[in-house]
Amino acid sequence: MSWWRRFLPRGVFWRQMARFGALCLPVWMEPVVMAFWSGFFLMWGAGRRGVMRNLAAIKPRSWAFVNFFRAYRVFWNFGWTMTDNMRFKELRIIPDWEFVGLDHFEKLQSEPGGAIILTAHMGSYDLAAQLFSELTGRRMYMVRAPEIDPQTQEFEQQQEGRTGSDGLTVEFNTKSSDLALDLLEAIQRGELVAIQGDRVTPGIATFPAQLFSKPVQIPSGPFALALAARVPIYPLFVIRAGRRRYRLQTCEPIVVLRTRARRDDDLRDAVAAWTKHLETVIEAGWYQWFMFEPYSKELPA
Amino acid sequence: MRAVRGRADTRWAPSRFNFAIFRLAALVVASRAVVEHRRGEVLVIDRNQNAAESYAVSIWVVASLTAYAASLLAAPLGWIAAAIVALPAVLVLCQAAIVAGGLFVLPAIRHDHTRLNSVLLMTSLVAVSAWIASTTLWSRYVGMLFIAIVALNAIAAVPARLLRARMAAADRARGVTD
Repeated sequence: MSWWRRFLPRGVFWRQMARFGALCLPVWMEPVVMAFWSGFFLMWGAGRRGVMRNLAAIKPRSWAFVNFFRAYRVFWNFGWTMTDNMRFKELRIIPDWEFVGLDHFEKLQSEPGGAIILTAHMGSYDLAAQLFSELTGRRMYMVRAPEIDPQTQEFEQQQEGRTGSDGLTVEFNTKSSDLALDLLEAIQRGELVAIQGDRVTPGIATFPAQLFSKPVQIPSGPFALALAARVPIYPLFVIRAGRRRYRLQTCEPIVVLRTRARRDDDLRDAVAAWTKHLETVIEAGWYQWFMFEPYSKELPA
Repeated sequence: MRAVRGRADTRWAPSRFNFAIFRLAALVVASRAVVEHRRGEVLVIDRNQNAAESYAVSIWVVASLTAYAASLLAAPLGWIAAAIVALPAVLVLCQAAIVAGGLFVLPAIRHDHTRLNSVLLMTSLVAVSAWIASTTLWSRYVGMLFIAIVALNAIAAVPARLLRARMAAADRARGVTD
């Protein structure tokens, strides 16, 4: 691999810099650094255009000119969440939290036989999973999309091994068939399984749905798993609410039951319920939906 | 790490602030604040947790440095060009200074270098401000103000230290426990 690949937007150099920042950056200089690098990453054409096209779908009557500045806000929030995550991993410094839907959250905590947490690429989902497993004492199995760059993936795995929590197992969804059995076993042991349900990686099963009136492929794994393990799905979103402050929003659980002859009909209702939650949360928190590619094939690449 | 659950008024706990001026201000506010229960609120006790403090210091530093840069660049570039170039130049310089400072302190401590780098950078800023204040540039007043604020914070550190017991009591009143 060429040495310069590490400097590409998804390259490992930026993760190493984020770690360096978490260890060396004086806190009173953080806003300056964030403002600068958010502007710098606006030069990443593919990422910027991806965010702007998604914004055009989320806000149908918006202007491209305004969406350019909205894209800056997305990069700004991404930078902060990445830093907060890195700071927690390296220095165990946690942000403030506010819980919305606390009743659902408490129900999730007390689910006797395991449950599925379905989340999106918003806020610091990584940090939330780590904290959840540390604070609640419940074992969690988190499935996340692998990094596109192999060196970045290696860096993430090394950091996970070095700084991860005892109660949290992180798996990358590269081989869906192998992982499905592990997840089923984890649920049967009474563990919580956290999966991101807004992005599809190559090789995993999908289900067609609509998001902001555009066709989209949603990972079908979490819904099939809920059906097989007979456990509820809790939509849970981690939203950055300010500097070192996050909102953990837990929604009403989605119950997937086998009631009809065709399995897909049962899954369709559950997927529709999920995308409805997703739409509501993204509409309010578009500035931290970290989707740097067009989410639908109908949106120009 | 310590955290207080269900108390929104913990945001005024002095131990959530870093600089002496802000800690004293928090003590004043905390002594008047009423208990505010809020279900689902978890506030962390860390000296760098206050957003207003962090943004205020950050903006103050950048504004001062921009004034210095604009006044220094005005002679070779002219006023308009200097005004345009000053802010981007300062932002780039800040990144370079942070990285240089970080690399300098990196071998000194094994893990958390933020505090040492913070002292190093603030000392450099005071030195630059002192030099600017000694010139005849218009930004010397900004430099003087910078040094005055740093001096004020140093002076505020004395009562902040003397009032440690009261600060601890204010923390406890806001739900912070040892």
